Order: sequence, then structure tokens, then C-alpha cells
Amino acid sequence: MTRRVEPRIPAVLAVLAAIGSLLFIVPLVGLLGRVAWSELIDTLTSDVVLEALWLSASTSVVAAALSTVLGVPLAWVLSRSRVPGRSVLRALVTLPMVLPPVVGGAALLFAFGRRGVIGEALDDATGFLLPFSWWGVVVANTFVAMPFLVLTVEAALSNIDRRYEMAAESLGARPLQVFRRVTLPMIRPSLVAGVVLAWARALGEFGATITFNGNLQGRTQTLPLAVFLELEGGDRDAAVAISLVLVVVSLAVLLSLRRNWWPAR
Amino acid sequence: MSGLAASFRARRGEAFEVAVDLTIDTGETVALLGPNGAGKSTVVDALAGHLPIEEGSIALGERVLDDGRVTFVAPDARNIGVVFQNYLLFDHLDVVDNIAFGLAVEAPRREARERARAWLEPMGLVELAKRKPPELSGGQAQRVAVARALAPAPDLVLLDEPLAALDARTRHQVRRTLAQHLSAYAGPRLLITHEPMDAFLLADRIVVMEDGVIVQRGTPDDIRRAPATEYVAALSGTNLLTGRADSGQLTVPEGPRLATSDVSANGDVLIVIDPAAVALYPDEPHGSPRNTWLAEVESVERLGDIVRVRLGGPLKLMCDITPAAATALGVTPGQSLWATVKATEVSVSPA
Amino acid sequence: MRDFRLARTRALAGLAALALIAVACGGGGGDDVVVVFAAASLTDAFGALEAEYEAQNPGVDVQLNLAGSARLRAQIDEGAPADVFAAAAPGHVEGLYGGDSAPLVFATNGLVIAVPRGNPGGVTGLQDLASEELLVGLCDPRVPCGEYAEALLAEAHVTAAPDTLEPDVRSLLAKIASGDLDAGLVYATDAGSDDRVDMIEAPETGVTATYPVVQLSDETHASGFVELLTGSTGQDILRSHGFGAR
Repeated sequence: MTRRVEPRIPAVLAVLAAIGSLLFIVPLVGLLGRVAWSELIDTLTSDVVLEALWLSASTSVVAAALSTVLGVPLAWVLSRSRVPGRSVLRALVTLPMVLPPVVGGAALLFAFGRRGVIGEALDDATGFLLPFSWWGVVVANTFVAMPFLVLTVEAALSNIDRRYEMAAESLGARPLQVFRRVTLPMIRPSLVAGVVLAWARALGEFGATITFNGNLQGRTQTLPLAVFLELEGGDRDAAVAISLVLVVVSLAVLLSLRRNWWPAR
Repeated sequence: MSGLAASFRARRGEAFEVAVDLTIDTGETVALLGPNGAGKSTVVDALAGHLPIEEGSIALGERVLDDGRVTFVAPDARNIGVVFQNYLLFDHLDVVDNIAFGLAVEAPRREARERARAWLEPMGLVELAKRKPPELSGGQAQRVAVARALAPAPDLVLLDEPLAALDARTRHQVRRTLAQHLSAYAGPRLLITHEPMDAFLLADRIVVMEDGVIVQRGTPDDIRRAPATEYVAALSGTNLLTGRADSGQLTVPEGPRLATSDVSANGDVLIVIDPAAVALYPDEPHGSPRNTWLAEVESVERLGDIVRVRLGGPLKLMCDITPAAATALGVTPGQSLWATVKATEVSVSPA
Repeated sequence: MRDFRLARTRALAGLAALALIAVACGGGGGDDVVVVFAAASLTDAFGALEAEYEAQNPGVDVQLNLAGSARLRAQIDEGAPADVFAAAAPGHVEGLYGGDSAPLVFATNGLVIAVPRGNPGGVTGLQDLASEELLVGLCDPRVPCGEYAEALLAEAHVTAAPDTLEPDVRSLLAKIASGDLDAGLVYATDAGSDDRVDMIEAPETGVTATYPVVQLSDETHASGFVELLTGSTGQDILRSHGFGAR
């Protein structure tokens, strides 16, 4: 056996870390302990769960994609440009992380609802309304998830060595080419981490979604909403079963991607 | 393709200003030599397009890159190849893609890679084609950096301290190969360095910079013979002779035979002897096998902590000794002293 | 160094003791506290009843926990320390009262069609709730308000086309009040309490919301509060908030 020097963890840190871990592990164990295993299959294959699963999966993935397409350029502007008012913009982008999601949902309603600033114009022009629709769920998800991506990517952009971009310039690459061929690859780990975080946040989104989109099975009832409704209605077992689906799906994705988004080891 | 004509004043921050006047012909290597803080990187930034000049002009052939007023060509449009101090190779691309990077700006990737592959053999990179920069040694990375800069056929090549990142042993080797690769490139070349050996061995002309201004210019010989400032004098503080080598035996025109333990080159060579390696004795030393000859003191000057004795006679050399030794020997111009240098302290490189 | 460690240990021990005391003292109504769990639709009415009871019994603190009936029932099942439980539908108090007797009903409520002020959707009756063009909201059938709505619609032979099934009647009301929905079925008491909302009477169908109350503990003030509810003062207060007679 090869001898290795194992890092020594100071006792105080070990104890605190253990307590911290328990905070995450115990509720999960509690949840598993409450599962009515005999009815689990029935619950999991019911329409309610399958439709909620489909909605959660589709809206969270699209929200993550939308967050990336809009968030990366936004991060670039925040990090690299000298546009005035950047710090205000950054504060605004951080706001959804600080505000209760319900407040976010209410704000979305004021903007995109039928009597909202933009919603009314949109309705008059095209007859299309965001609230109570699948796209409404995507917008609510993107609203809460995008800040995670923007902040992660902005930090990465500010920390990479700009001289590599200078080197690319010296070789004739124009700004967009530099971005595509050098900058993006250099921030890849942070970008992936940002996308995963955004996706995870979108998957778990509840407050903004229910406030902005209401709740309708098959159209806007995502997994978190389904859990909440079952709890409101008193069906503990169903709530626990659906929660289990959420936990399993989230863990599966997070663990399978860990090599990509876990800070480099 | 024709040369660089740059004459400008540029400012970095509030306090620091440089004023330079540089021309480089095609096929010529000019070294910009100066201590840290002299303003060399300011000049590089101005030439590369990262720092607009205050007044003057930078022109490559007929193209004006910056006239201090209206004309300013962006860095990506200047067609100046740069070899950076830490190479700045793209870690996420393999060697071929790195070399092809400048070519892939206009051409499709496959064609760019094909053209890049043509550089592998001349640069000795064939087995390394698929490796990524973190897997390369210092010398290998340097060759990739040079190839990458030269591949797009730039109008000017800027080498910013290209050997600074190497250890002493590799430097020597890489310096020689760099000289070969540079001579294969037809355009003007500007070498930025604080290391006098690089300048003396690689450049046709040297421009010395201190505190933002040019203090001397000339060929390496000019600089050594008549240093304009103390810094330049200290710079040229090494002995460079020409001669012929044959398996460790050196012949210097009109000079004594010297023995060297460095058998890396034969034929016409440049011989380097560190002044600190030359020892002076009042009487002929016996015993150890050293190169020994009778020399005449031409001049003595105090340079900081050392005393520099210029020797004439069969070998014109500089010799650095401590002030204490100088006092003990009583060095004065016209005096005859025995000079020795160990064979291990004599190194050669192909001329 | 040793002094510091000693001081730190003492501090930690002190903190632990405080924590234990806090836990021991918390939970359960004391002599002067009565904990009342009540359905969300009773919010305004019970606020007034709380004030009335505290005025009649100085020194007594009525603590209200207002939420969906099913959620409250779940909390009680888990051991939450409620003295009184007032639900929005009889089903939620099953098993909490003794024997086969029916639960004590203290109020009734009706469902009405609520529309934004001015009725922009031009809603005239229950059949409009089946319209695909209008944005319609109902309570989710898993909560009392939704149960009643389902029963009402079934009785009237209307198949609604809701765009959302809200988890509680208050959020449904809010969406109607803001104009984001054209119509919804809410309690008469809720529609009456918000002047951004107009009411359209639902046809008589015999579907009425009945509110049962159960006393869960032997505290004096638990029975005292129930007496207030069923007594004339309490009933007047409930009536003034729009509730029907028991």
C-alpha cells in the first residue's frame, strides 16, 4: 500500500461540517421514511405526476437554455463593457435572488399580466398572454434562474487572464471570434456550473410560477406545484411520493454532471 | 512586405511617458534592450495596438497603423505577430490548432490545420502535434508560440522576452533554434528583452532604452565598445569573441589558443567568457590546467561593487574583480598581469 | 490559551442551557393563551372575533393560525398544539369530535361568481365559466372552496374550462381583483370584502359551504371561544362579514 499524507481536518471544523451535513441528510432520510412504498408505483404513474414531470423537465431545460442565451451576453456586458450604470444593472440582475419568489411572480404579473405594462400591448397585438401558459412558466423560471448564471459567468469572465484574448487579437481574430474561440472555452467550467445551477433553480421554482401562472394540470402544474397542492389537499402520501420524484431527478442530474461543474479537483 | 517605421510618444497612466524612434528593415532583427521599467512594454503595447499614441506615427510599409490623431488600426487588423513572454498558448487547443489559430480567422478550419501542419517539421514539433500546451516543456511551448505567430505571415514579428520563461540551460539551446527560425522569416523582427545575451546573440542592431527614452543604438559591437551610460556598460558586461572551434580547442585571430570544455559547436563560433571568470595574477600561475596568457591592463574603472579591468594584449577581454583584489594587485593602466580562465568557463555557440 | 478554552466551553454550555429552556417553555397554550386554527376564508371574521374575545377576557391571548383546512388538519395530526379548530368543510374535522354525532356548525357560506370590477369579460352566469375565450379560475378541488365549486358546477350541469385551479381562495380572489382572470367561483364573504371585485349570484343549487368547529382541548378558554362563536355576539360578527346563519 502506498503511503499518503491525508489532510488533517481540525476537530472543530469536522464537528461543524458534520452538523451542516446532517441539516441536508436528515430531511432527506425523513422523506424516504415517509414514503408509502406500496402505493408508490400507482402514484408515480398517475397522470398528475407524469404530466407534472413533463412540465418540470421541459420548462426547466428551456429556462436554463434561455438563461444561457441571454445571460452570457449580459454577463459579458457587466464584466467587460464600460456602459454607464453597470452596477445598477448588476443589482437589478441580483434582485430575483434576494426577493421572495412570490414577489417576483407578482412583479411579472404587473408587467406581463393582462393589464400589465407589456402584457396588455402584447394581448392587444397578438392575443397571446404569458400568464397561465407553458411559456409563462418558462418566463417565471428564467426570471429566478438567470441571475445564478449571470453572476457565475460574470465572475469567471472577470477572473480569466485577458492576455489570452490579446493573443487571439494579435493573431487577427475579431472580437466575436475571440469570444467564441478563446473566451468561452476558457470559462467553460464556470459556464457549465452556471447552467446547472440555473437549471436546478428553475426545477425547484414554485412561488413565482404559482403567482404568475396559477396551477393547471398538464399546462402549468410543475412538480413543486403538484407537491404543494397535494399537501394543501391533505394527501401526505402523494405529496411525499412526488417529492421523491423531484429529489431523484435532481440528484441524478447533479451527480451525473459533477465532473463538469464541480470545482476542478 | 517592408519594414517598420515608428516614431512616437506614448503615455501609460498619469506619470509614465515613452518617446521612441525605431526603424526596422525587412529581414533585420532589432533588439529593444532595457531594464525593467524602461518602457519596453509600453512600446510593445503601442505597436500592437493596445495603447494609442499621443503623437507621432507607426507605419508598417505603406500602412499607417496609428498617427496619433485620426488613424488607428485595431490590434486584430494590424497583422503583427507576437510571441509573448509566457507564450499564452491556448490550453484548450492542441499544438496544430494553436499554430492554425491565426489562419483559421479567414480560412475554414480544415484548410487552416493543413497549412499549420507544414510548420511541424521545421519546428521539430511533429510528435507533439496532438498534445495540448500543459503537456509541453518550456522549449517546446516556445517553438509552438513562434510557429503560431509566424504562420499567418505577419508584416512584423514582435518577440516579447521570448526566453524569459526558460531556465538557464534551456535558454542557451532555445536561443540558437530561435535564431534559425527567425532567419527563415522574411519580414522585420523586433526583439524585446532585458537580457543582454539575447540581444547580442540574436540581433543585428540594438536599441537601448532607459526611463522611457532611447539612450543608445548601434550594432552589438558598437554598444560594447562605447557604452553611452552606466547601464549600457553594465549590460555589455560579458566578453564576446569570434574564433574557430575544433573539439574543444579554440583559435582566436591573433590570440592565444584557448581550451574549452564546451564541445557543442565546431567551426566558426562565438566565444563567451564571463568577466567574473577571468582571474588576474601578478606572477604566472602554475599547476591547474587553465587558459593562461600575459595581458596588459588598458583601463580600470569602478562600476558599483566591482572593478572592471579592460585587458589588451593577445586577447581583448573585460575582467571583473573585487575592489580588494584590485587594491592588492595595484591594477593600473599599462601594467602587465597574468590572466587565466578555466576551460569550463568558456562557452561557444555557432556564429 | 487555557483560559480562553475554558471561557469558550463555559459560553457554549450557557448557550446550550438557554436553548433547552427555550424549547421547554415553548409549545402548547398556557393558562392565558388559546390557540385557534381556522380556515383561510375565516381570516377577516376571526380577526374580529379574536379582538372581541380578548376585549371580553382581558389578559387572554388568542393566537390565530390561519391556513387551508387540510393543511391545518395535517398539522393537528402531527401534534400541533391547537385548542380550537374551525374548518371550511366537515370532511376536515372527521375523527376529531366524539361519537357519531354531527360536528358543530357555526356558520355557512355561499359561492358566488366574482368578476373584476366593471365585469370586462361580460360574464352573466355560470355557463360563462365553460367559455374557452374567457380566463376562468377555480379553487383546486383538493381544498374546500374547490370541493364546493365542483359540487355547484355539477348540480348546475356546467363543465367549466378553468385556466387555473388555485390552491387557496385568497390567491384566486387576488387574480380576479387584478384583472388577470375574467371570472371565478369564490366565497360570498371573500367577494364582499374586496371592492375591486363585483359579484354575480350563482343560481340556487342547495350547495352551501358549512363551517364546523371542534374543541380540541379542555382549556377553559377553548370552550369559551367556541361559546363566543355560537353565541349571538359571535354570530353577529360572522353575519357582518357575510357569513350565513348556522
